[in-house]
Amino acid sequence: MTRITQLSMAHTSLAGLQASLTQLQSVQAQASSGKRIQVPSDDPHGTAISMQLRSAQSADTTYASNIAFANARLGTLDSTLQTLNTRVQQVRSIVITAQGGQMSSDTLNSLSSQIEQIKPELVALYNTQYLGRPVFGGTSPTNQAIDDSGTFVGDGTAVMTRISAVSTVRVDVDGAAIGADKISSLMDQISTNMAAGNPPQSDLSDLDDVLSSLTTALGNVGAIENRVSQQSDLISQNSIDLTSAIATNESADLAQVLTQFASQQVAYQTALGIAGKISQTSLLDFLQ
Amino acid sequence: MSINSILYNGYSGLNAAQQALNVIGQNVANANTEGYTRQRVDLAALQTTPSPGLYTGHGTQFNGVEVTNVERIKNMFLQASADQAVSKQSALQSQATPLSDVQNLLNEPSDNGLGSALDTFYGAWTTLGNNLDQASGNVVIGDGRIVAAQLNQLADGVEQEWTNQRDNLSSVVDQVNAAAQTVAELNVQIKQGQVGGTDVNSLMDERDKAVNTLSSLVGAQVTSGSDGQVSISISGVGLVNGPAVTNTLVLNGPADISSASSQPTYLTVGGTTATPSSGSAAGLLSSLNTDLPAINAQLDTIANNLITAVNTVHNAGYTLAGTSGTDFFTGTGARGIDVAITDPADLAISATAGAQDGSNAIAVGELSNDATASTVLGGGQSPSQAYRSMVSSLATQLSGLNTAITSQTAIVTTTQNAVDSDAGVDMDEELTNMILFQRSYQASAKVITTADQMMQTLIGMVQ
Repeated sequence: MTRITQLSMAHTSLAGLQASLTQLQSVQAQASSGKRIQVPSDDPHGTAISMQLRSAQSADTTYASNIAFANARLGTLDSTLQTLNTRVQQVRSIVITAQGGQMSSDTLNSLSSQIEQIKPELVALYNTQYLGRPVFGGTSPTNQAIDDSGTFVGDGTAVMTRISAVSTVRVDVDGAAIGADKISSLMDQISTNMAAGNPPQSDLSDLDDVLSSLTTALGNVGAIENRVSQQSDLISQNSIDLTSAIATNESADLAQVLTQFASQQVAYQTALGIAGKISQTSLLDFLQ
Repeated sequence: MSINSILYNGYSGLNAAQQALNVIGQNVANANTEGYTRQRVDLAALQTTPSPGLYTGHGTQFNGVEVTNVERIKNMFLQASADQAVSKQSALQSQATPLSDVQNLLNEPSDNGLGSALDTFYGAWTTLGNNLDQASGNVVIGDGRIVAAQLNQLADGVEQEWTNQRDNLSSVVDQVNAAAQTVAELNVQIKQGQVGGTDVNSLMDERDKAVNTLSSLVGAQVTSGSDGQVSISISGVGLVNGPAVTNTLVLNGPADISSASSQPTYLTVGGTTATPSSGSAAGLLSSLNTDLPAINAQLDTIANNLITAVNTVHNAGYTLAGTSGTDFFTGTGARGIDVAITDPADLAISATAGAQDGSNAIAVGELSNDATASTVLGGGQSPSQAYRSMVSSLATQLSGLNTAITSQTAIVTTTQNAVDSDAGVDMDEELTNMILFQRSYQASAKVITTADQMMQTLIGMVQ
């Protein structure tokens, strides 16, 4: 039979109290911080997962800000292209009016000066900027697509933005593809021909080329906008999933923690009660 | 046989009971003294062997009782196993402490650790690539400085931890040498005491305490000699031999972590290398030679890979003014890393000279993708990946150590309990013995009274 001594009882109950208190402290830390993983060693595997999830979440944040950037640029492109379309249509109807024939030279001159009025407006539209960068100028070092002499100075380099781990989208339109390279001279040519009295059919077909390239560009921009908005939905859904995955991985199950806390507290109080009682009585109480 | 002998017989009983009560008093007084071993008086009956008397016809002579010895009740094997358990526990604890300190420095998993700082840094490059403006450039430089500062701080923290643990080991060595001196001195006193027949029990308690210290500090081995002296050795090399401290424990090795990977820290006993397998020293040595240098090297890998990856991509680009990109990060290792660029105009944002293009900045931002970074590094680990694996391996090691400490603590409790049950004082037992010897004292006194009455009766007969 093991001999029990006061010292061994004291040590045992102290060790029990310590163990109980350590448990209580760990549960209490979980409850107060709401986190299951206080330090990596609490769950090395869970920590690794958490860090990966956080990386993915931060990548999502980058994609989301890229998408916002893409949306803003594409919106600018879209509205500019539509305005351009309207303005070029306007030029086209003036040319058709002129072609109707039997115009007095005064009328023709006034029509010609109308064209000259529209030209700088068109050039300004081609020079539309987003955050200081010409949206039809590619990565050209100047901040114009068409310079003051009417020459196209864009370089046609695509401006790309990454909207997911696997896809990038073009967020500009090459000015050369929508007639920025010839609009200035075309306007001059139409205006000169009109003043001379007989705008040739070729002027009209040149305008039609520009119009059709604008329509194509609009279609492209619309398609890209569509893709970006789909990706945006995906990203926000994914980001909700990631947040919930991180929460599931790191957060303490409060119901469980509170239950544990309550039962651990009872255990600790019991241990305390017993420890307080163990050495109260001894043979001494019965000796007279 | 005479009435006188009855008197003396009673007197010896009084004496023995008195001495026994004295020892009981000592036990009760020291019931809670750490390291006290209970004692017990050994009693022996004094009586002559009956020999057939040729003329006298007298048989046995009854001379009462004597205290032959005050015995120290302790099982040395139980104590040895408790010492061993404690020394293993100390080794585990002193290995876990520095790892736990480093773990607290890391502050993971959270949004404030190095992992998040890296992600934010890459994100800032992407924003710069989109916006091409000076404000975004300043954010990139600022976030780069935060990453560099975090790496500096971590490296500094690990170095500080290493220095602290080396100081700890140095103090362990001093304590071991002091305890060895104590053991040697007590060896001498105990031997002298035993030869002279004086009570050496308390000296033995003292020596046990010093041996416990040695065991928990360096896992020292103890051999008991036949003359009551003990010898102490560390991994087979003698430290104390009987009355003499034969060798001194010496700490060798570098003074800071920078050369820790090439020059190990080691202990010598009298010129021979000692490799304690348990005790605080063992834990401290593995922390100084393996754990902390490994973390330090991993931090350097993270920093160097970050420097190489970012600089490689950055140098391939051009500033908006059209000049070739220069190093974004300067320095080497986690301690040396710093941001070289101070002016946002020097950031190589563009992939083509002379173009207002953000694709090179975006390319730096895409280093956040582990595979991309690994390709840039020629197959090396991406900084984020290296960091994650560092945190993960540290956490796994520490979690393993914590589990081992928990189970070792249970073993320590059990073995210490065994020692306490064996050598500790049980009040009930002492009180029972007290009653026993109190009664024995009363009875012996009664014997003397009775002998006195007999004497008076005898004298009265003569009158």
